Amino acid sequence: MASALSGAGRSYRHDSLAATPDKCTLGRVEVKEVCHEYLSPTDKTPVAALGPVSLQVSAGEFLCLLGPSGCGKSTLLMIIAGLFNPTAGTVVVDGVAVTGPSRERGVVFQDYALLPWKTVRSNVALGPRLAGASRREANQVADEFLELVGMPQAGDRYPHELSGGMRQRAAVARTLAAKPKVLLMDEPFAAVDAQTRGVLQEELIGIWARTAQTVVFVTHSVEEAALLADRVVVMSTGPGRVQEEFPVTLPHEDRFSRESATRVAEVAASLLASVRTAQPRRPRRGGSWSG
Amino acid sequence: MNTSERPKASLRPSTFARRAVLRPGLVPVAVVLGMWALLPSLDHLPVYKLPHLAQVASELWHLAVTGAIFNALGDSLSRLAIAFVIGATLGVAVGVAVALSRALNDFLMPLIAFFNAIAGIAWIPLAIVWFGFGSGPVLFVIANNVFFIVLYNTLLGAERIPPVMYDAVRTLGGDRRRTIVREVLVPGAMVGVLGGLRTGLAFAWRALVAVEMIAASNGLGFMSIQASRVFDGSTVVSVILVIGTVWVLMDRLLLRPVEALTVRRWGMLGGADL
Ligand SMILES: Nc1ncnc2c1ncn2[C@@H]1O[C@H](COP(=O)(O)OP(=O)(O)OP(=O)(O)O)[C@@H](O)[C@H]1O
Ligand SMILES: [Mg+2]
Repeated sequence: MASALSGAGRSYRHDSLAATPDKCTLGRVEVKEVCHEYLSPTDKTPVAALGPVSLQVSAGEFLCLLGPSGCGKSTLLMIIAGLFNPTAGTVVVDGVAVTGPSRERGVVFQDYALLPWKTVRSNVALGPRLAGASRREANQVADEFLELVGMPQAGDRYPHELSGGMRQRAAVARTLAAKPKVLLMDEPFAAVDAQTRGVLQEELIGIWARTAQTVVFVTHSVEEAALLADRVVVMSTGPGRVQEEFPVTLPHEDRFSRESATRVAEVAASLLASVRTAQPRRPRRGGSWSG
Repeated sequence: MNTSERPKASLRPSTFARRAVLRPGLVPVAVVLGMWALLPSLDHLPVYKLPHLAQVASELWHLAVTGAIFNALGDSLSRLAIAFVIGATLGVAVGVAVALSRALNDFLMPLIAFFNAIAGIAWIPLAIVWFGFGSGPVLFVIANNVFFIVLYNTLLGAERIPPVMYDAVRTLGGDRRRTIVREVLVPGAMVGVLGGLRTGLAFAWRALVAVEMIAASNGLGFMSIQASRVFDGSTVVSVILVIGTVWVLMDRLLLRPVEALTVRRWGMLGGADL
């Protein structure tokens, strides 16, 4: 145990935030024939929620998972993270099958999941700390990442003292500070206002351009997918499957400009058409879909 | 995580501390004392049933000057401290172990549920047989009482930790056991633990006096029961006043500050305070 930990310590290297070239070759995700069943809470019979789903994400790609509520997006993301074991199929990252969670696959949870008993700085420093960095070193890294997400002054505050948007940034900073190869984000900006969302989206793309991490980004919003993705995977319900894939070829650096707004809107419109056909035939209220 | 009712939390500790020290409910206390002072003149209440305020005050003064009340208080408080530390330490330790291990949980939970239902005081007769009169049975009964209260609340606290907290730490590189206990289980259960310590201390303090009445030969409880045997109501009431005052002080000077530094600061209390 001790040796494994000290080994882990050496593996945390804090280079500058600039992309290191070799990073682009890491973080390739392959989802192979993955199915997932939940036990129904009433009679304990298995209910198919997902799959079979197969998809590939290349290293450094920004992939958006888009689909109606309840189609299994979160389930798929948790399976890639290694937090759920799929009922069937495997997830392979850089040639190695996923068997459990790892710091190589960082997750930004929908409800932030910041630890309330830690200051924002300590939350962000947790990844480096667990990788063996000293407290000083980890705090320094944390401050850099807090700066990166635009909240350099918030380090000493506790999560409950932050606004929703700031919590979201802190959660993103915490996941980034652990230097994952793959960034898994579950509707990270769903709970913030439109204005903040726009800022966060642009910041995320800026950060991603520098770190060159692979991103799997779950969203409900066709506009968000059109703004962010290299490729959009539209899923359908009952049980969740891949319905259609859309490469988005607009250059990332242009998408936030006013001139390209119409082109982004066109992409969003075609995504919307696809999502419409992915809706279940008997539409249900949102509440009954999410666990 | 419930985030809606938190904004004021960070302001609370300081206002709390100031309010507790400067204005410990003086007005209601004065009203009750006033009623007590008037009572004998309204009715023909015999002194042995309820001693006069003035008598109690002079008795309290006497007990303080001779040091008798401080000796008794010292005896009781040191018992409380020892029993509380033993019970609370074991309670938290077993609570964390049970929260961690399903096997231990399955084995111990029925036992815990059973023994938790037995009021600490029900052990007195057996404790006297085991330890003889004196501190032994008092410590046993009180530590036992504290242990189950703290254990139970620790488990409740652990149960209420949102599973996503564990997921977050695991995806940041936390291994299942060590870091999870340190980073999530222990701090996350803190609301429960502190609640348990507070309830445990409150119960222990009440029960302590009762057990001392039966099983000890010193301490506040003994002082009170001795006085009642010679119809010395003033001393009995003096002891009651001391017991109440000491509890209020313990709560305000010890428990609340600890809470203010931890769970209250973390925004983990909904804002309801006991
Ligand atoms: N713990 C659970 N137990 C039983 N069924 C579940 C559980 N979690 C999810 N499900 C079911 O599995 C399906 C997929 O759920 P999932 O949360 O992955 O959907 P989603 O696409 O993320 O939805 P949303 O967009 O609303 O977040 C849903 O039908 C849901 O009801
Ligand atoms: Mg979801």
